[in-house]
Amino acid sequence: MKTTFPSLLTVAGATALALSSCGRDDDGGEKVTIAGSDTMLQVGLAWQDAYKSVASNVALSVEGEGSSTGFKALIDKTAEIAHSSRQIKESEAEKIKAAHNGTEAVEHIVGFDGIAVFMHPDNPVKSISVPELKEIWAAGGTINNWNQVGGSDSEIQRMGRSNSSGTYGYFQKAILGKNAEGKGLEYKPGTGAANGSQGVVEFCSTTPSGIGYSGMSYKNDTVGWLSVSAEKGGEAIEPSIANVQNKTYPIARPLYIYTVGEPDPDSTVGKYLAWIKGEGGQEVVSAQGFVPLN
Amino acid sequence: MAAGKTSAIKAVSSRALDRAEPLIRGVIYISGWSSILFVVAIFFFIFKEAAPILTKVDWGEFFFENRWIPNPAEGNEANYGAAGILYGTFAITVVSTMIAMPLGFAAAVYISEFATGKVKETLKVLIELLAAIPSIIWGFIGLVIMGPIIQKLFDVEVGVNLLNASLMVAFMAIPLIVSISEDALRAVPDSYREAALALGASKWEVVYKVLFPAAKNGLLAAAMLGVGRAVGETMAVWMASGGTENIPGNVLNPAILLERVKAMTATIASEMKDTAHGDEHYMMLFVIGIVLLFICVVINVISDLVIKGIKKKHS
Repeated sequence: MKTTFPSLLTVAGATALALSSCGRDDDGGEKVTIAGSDTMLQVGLAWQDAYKSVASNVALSVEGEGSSTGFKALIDKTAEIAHSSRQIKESEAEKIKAAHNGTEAVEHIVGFDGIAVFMHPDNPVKSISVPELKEIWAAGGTINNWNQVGGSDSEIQRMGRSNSSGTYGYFQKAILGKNAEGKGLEYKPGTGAANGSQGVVEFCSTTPSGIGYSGMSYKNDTVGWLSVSAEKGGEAIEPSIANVQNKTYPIARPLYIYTVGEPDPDSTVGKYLAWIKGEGGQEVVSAQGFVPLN
Repeated sequence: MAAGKTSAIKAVSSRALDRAEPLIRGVIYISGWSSILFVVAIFFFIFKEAAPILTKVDWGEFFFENRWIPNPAEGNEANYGAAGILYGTFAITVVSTMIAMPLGFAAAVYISEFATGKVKETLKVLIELLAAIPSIIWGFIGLVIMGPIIQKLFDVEVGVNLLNASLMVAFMAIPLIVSISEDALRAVPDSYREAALALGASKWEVVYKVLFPAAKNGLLAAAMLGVGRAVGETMAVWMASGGTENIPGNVLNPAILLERVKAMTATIASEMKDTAHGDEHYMMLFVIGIVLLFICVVINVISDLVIKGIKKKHS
């Protein structure tokens, strides 16, 4: 009892402090809730941290569970800002419009994420084209052995991401594309789903015939990556920040922020977005391994 | 000096206790019932989350097709064929049980019948320590240590596969199997051993012909709990299995051990975080959860009945 009583007091004190600080926020400051992409969670938290020194009276709350959850939060009016690693779907845009009396969702591009195609560092293949990648990854594709793209005779072992990740969806749309009837292609059966981007890199670094895709920032010394050309025989471009910015590297996606209606430049949300697109916010983007706007 | 004071405190506290007794009794009563409440609540929650889709699930597709595509490309229908995922869990469970059961039983026999003194105590402590290793550590060992070993040993491209995941799960199940089967062996009365030895049985014959039959139920219960562990294990399986839903053409070909698989638990864990609450994919993950829960309940009920059987026999 002797030991627990003071500790109970501490807990009570801490709770009281927490409560009082909450109150202060409600009285003087502004609260902005941000929900959405898991890919953008780290950069979102870094923005939150850096923004404290810019506007200390603004309390940002950042959540990152998946791009879909951000749009759902806009529809449910539980968040003012949605992070997304993919473009909004038509159905989501309509629901937002309906929930906000006709005000439409507005898209802001705040950075880029280059997707690298990783392989084992000893793999002799150093470059590949987008059509070849499609034949490797898409269901019904004809490339199943590294010797079909100039490598050694070994079956290609594909490792992707979980089917609900934004990276899975982006790579599918950008690389697998559509068939002749205009229907999107699915991944080839037997494609793995790794435990996060780190899992993809781990797999490629330990599997001599492995191939995988993930954000550029996950590159380390244990894996290699392929230079990619948009067309077969075209110039192969190495994934790099400069090549993503000048749009020569073909597999890069924008990082989106969505708001309901164009925010007033003098409002809390408006000022925050302007900061993100400005120098301070963009420094955070590159510090987090993404590609800044310019 | 404190004698008088202590008795005074005792008197006060016993009077306070008298008054507090109904309250304490209430708290204990609620604590007792709360576990039942939690179980019911878990069942309710899982069924509630999946309820809107339960009537619409194509069960034929779910159990017999290997096409799990909840987020299809534009213009395509979603597919929820979980056969490959069910196979993954089933295969990992069978293989890991085949590894863990003999090893676990052998270790239990050694500890309970052969080891003495310090060796016995040390082994028991070490096995308990083995049980305390978090599953993500096992997953990490599978990925970083066992993977390359399997690659070299079998000359295969990918080290994360059915064998790797099963080994990790087996290592996690072994402490459980050892401690429960050791209890079961110890519960066999010494008079059995003495009688057998007096009849001229060797030590091996005592174990094989007397102890095993006598402790049969306890050993079975240990194995069942090991199986339950294997079915429910998530993190290690996720990291060490290779995450690919493959169904082999020939189940009897040992090469299937080196194929990548994907388990039910790992599917739920990897896909749940990015699904929007309440959409079709989310509910289908809960359907997998229901199937998983059902398997675990059946295994637990069976092992429970078996353990009850032992108690009856001994009383």
